[in-house]
Amino acid sequence: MTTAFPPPTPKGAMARILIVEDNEMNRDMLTRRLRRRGYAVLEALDGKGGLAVARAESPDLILMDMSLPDLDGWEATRQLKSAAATRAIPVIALTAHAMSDDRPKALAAGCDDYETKPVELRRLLRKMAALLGHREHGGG
Amino acid sequence: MSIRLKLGLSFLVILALFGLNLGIYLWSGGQRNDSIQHLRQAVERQLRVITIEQELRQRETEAGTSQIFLEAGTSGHPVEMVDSLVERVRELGRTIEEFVDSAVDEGERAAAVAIARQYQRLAELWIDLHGRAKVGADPVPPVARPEEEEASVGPYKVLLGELAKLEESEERRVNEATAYFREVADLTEELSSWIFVLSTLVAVLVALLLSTHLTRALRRLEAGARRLGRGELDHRIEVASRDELGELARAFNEMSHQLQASHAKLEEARAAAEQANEAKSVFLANMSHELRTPMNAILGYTEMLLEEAEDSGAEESVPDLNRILAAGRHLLALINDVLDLSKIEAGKMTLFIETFPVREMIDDVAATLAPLVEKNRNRLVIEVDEDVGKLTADETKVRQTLFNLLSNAAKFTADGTVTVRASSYGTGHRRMLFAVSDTGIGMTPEQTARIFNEFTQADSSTTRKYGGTGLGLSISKKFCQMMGGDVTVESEPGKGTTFLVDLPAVVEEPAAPRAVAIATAVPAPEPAPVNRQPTREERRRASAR
Repeated sequence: MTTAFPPPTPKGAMARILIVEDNEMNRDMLTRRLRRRGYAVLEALDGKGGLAVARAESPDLILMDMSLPDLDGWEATRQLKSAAATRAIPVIALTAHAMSDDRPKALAAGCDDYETKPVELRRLLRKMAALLGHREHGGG
Repeated sequence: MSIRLKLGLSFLVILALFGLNLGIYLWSGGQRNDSIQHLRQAVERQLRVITIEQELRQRETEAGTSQIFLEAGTSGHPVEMVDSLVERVRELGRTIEEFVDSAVDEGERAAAVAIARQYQRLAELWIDLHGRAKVGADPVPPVARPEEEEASVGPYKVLLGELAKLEESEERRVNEATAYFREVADLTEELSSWIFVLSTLVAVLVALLLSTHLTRALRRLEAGARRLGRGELDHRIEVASRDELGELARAFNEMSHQLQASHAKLEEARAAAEQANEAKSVFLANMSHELRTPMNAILGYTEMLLEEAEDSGAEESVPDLNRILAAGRHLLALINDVLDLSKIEAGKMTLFIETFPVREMIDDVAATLAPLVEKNRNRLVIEVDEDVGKLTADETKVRQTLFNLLSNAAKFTADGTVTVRASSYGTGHRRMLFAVSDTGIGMTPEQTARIFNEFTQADSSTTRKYGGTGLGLSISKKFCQMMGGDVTVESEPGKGTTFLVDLPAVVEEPAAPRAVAIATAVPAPEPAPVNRQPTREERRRASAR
């Protein structure tokens, strides 16, 4: 496998990614794989934790699992997107649900993009890069 | 009452009227005959009385002749003449006796008996007179003459008076009989007319009632049957009579009741089946989630290990890790196929339309499939026309379709070429055509005919040799049909296969959002592209360039 992946960080800056995921293995795996590509990764185990980290650390991008305990991903995203401080942070929804209309639902909640689990890393990285690049141009 | 009974009774009523008519006719005939008889008898009696009177006057004249002889004292009647005269006097007596005997009632008899008695006395006088007027008889002393004259004239006058009275009464009888006859004739005529009118009225009434009843009942049945036919199973036909039509209506109602019952049962069964299907769908969704979560970890960690192995130069574990990855992806694909099919079957597959670049999507799919293409030492060629930019469709489903077709092509081809081409055609490039061709084993027409059926591969040995669920093509075709397109196949055994994916360049959103767009007076969307098949030329260009 020699395919070139998109550059991990725009303009050399180290993008900080927040992963909100309750499944330990998925979180660990995604964290390690992103770190391997040069991203700085923050972790949260549930919706409330995710909100707290997002507010405190202002990450460059959030990967949000939708089925979380206590506060689910949709609600957490809604809260993030309704607060001025966190509104600009791009959110990519991650979900394993395939049966219902999760995609439009996630986008309606304010998510900027959507990925189904199991994550196809190549596509996820491309989406992340697009959103991060967009942010660079849009918000500085 | 049954229709047969009704008709029978009607017939009987008419028959009875007919019988009544006949009876009246016969009775009036009898009455007429009686009255005619009566009249005739009365006339006959009258005639007899008149005859008797005439005879009496003649006898009186004859007696007068004998009187003249006696008065003249000349020689009288010859003997024969006298006998004859006497005989005639007696004969009238007999005639009167006969009249008495044949008297029709007591009044007549009494009058006749009086006349007979009177005549008897007169007859004795006349016989004596005639006897004395015989030739050679002793001349009658003239002295006696006035007495004798006196003796016969009195009873004669009385008798005439009696006869006149009788005659009068006979005439009265005749008049009475005539009047009676007229009366009878008038009465029977009138009766006959009335019975005729009545019969006609009754017959018309019966006919009207019967036909109205039958027509109404039939109309009700017809209307009921129509409503039943329209599916109004709760409709009941009014049972208005106890006849065959009523029975028919009852049978209809029974039938609709049964239909309703079985309909309800079916509905119940359908609901149960739907519920079961719903349960199945939910189960599959949950199952899919449960299966995907560990798969997520397996694939993720394997990919990670692979990357680490490549980076750290631990090349010896790369092939094994690649196998794990391939097997894991295969398993995931199977899970996804089963899930997709169950979603399509449950009617829960929805479209998520977005606009995406075609080239990138194809490259992405090709990259994912690279290991499979390389495995059979195949070459993958990608050709995308320059004017092919973006496609507005459900990206995941287009991607999955191309993935299915390409992995099939790679699977069934060895040391050959797998080509994927993308082009647009039609006015304003409204259609998008993907052609996935291989130089593989190909298929017979029989095989291509059933290749899109679920759980079907070209033949059963294919499954053992090449693996797969046989769901991929069926799912792909259904996806494309959902988007207003189709997947078709052209193949020749030994030469290769070409699958054509034909899609609208802009797939319409499902109905609801469009309706909103129209309602808010946003400029109307472009007319839907004609859902036409690519022409032969377009297909040739797409697959053979």
